[in-house]
Amino acid sequence: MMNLISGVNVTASALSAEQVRMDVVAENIANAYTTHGTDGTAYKRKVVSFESMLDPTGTGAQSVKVSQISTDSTPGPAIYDPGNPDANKDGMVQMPNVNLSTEMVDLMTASRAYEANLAVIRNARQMAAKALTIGH
Amino acid sequence: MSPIGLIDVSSMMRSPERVPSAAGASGTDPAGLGGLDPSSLAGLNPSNLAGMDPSTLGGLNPSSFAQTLGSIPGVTPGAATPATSDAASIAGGQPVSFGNILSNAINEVNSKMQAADAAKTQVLTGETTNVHQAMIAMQESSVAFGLMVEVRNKLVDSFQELMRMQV
Amino acid sequence: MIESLFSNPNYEASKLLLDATAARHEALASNIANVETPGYKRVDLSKNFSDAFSAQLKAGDLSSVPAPSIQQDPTATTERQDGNNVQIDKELMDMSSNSLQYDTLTEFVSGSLKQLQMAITGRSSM
Repeated sequence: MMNLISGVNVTASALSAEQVRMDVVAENIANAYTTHGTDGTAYKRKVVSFESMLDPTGTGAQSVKVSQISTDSTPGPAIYDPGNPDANKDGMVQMPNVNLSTEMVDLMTASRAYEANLAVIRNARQMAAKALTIGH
Repeated sequence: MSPIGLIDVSSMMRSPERVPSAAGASGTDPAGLGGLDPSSLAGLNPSNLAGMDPSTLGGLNPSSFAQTLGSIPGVTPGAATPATSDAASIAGGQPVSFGNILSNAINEVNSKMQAADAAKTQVLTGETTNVHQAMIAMQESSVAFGLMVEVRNKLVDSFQELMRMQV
Repeated sequence: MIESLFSNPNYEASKLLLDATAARHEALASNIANVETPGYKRVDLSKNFSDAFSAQLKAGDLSSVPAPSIQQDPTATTERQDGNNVQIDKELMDMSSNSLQYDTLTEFVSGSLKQLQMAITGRSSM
């Protein structure tokens, strides 16, 4: 099919990668206090890794993809809360290893990158529209 | 379009220098007639002109037009006068023929149009995102073609002007 | 006769630069897309092309300029912790000016073509 907007593969890949990242951050934030997850233990935050790959159109541009969504296994803080149903025999509750400020910064970065890529697509479309006015 | 019809026109164009020889030195052969001396004026009759059909000029096929013009230089059956000149010297003594110039120009227009087609194909198949190349190629071929059309119009107009000339 | 209509050096330079501007857009898009990728190094228009183009613009023989291509930028040095050296603000500014450059070149090319049309037909469109 016709390919009228330059760099559209690259930018589209970035948009979906950043979208995945924002989804993961949202999940981490939502589960910041989940002490009893599906496997019975406290929630462990997820981390998204990006990887770049050469765009098949051969121009030298590189598109980005999510290489994996891994789990951060560093243990979170344990707090003393004997009244909590998930407390162990010492009254300590294992909290998720989600640090809200880190997650918020990640969310802002991902959001900014997403908007930057939207600006790229807008620019590319304007360039193509201008090219169509040649001679008129 | 009959080549002979067109040659009649061109031999008419050449013949002004033959007017002084009106006193019988016709030298025209009845078949290729068209000289302006009074004796052959009778040859300039409407049925002769009918062989020269302006509408075929209108529906011009550029390559046959060029071919026909290119055939002017050598082909004048029997009208071997000292004033026989080919289109080259009509053009002022330069060593190129008008037919060649015209056919070169038409070839260039053709190659511009082919380039525009190739660029359009590239865009259609998605091989390139450079829309501007296709747009520029299209505009260039349009300009080149427009120039050819205007030249043709001028040639047709001058021919018709010529036909209207009073003898 | 027809080719000489289009052999204005500014017109040819503008056409070549349009290709380069479109290629540069892809390079900048790649940089902005990979701003979060660890180890990514920014890319830009190859130095071969920019140098050859500036040299030939004065010398007048644009046919010897190589086609514009994208390669890693050897001059970008500031790296972050993850090895990525893309500065997103700079990339966005470059992209904005690149887009303006494309518009300008389109106007140059368009102007030349419209002039030819006007000269040939006496009207402003064919």
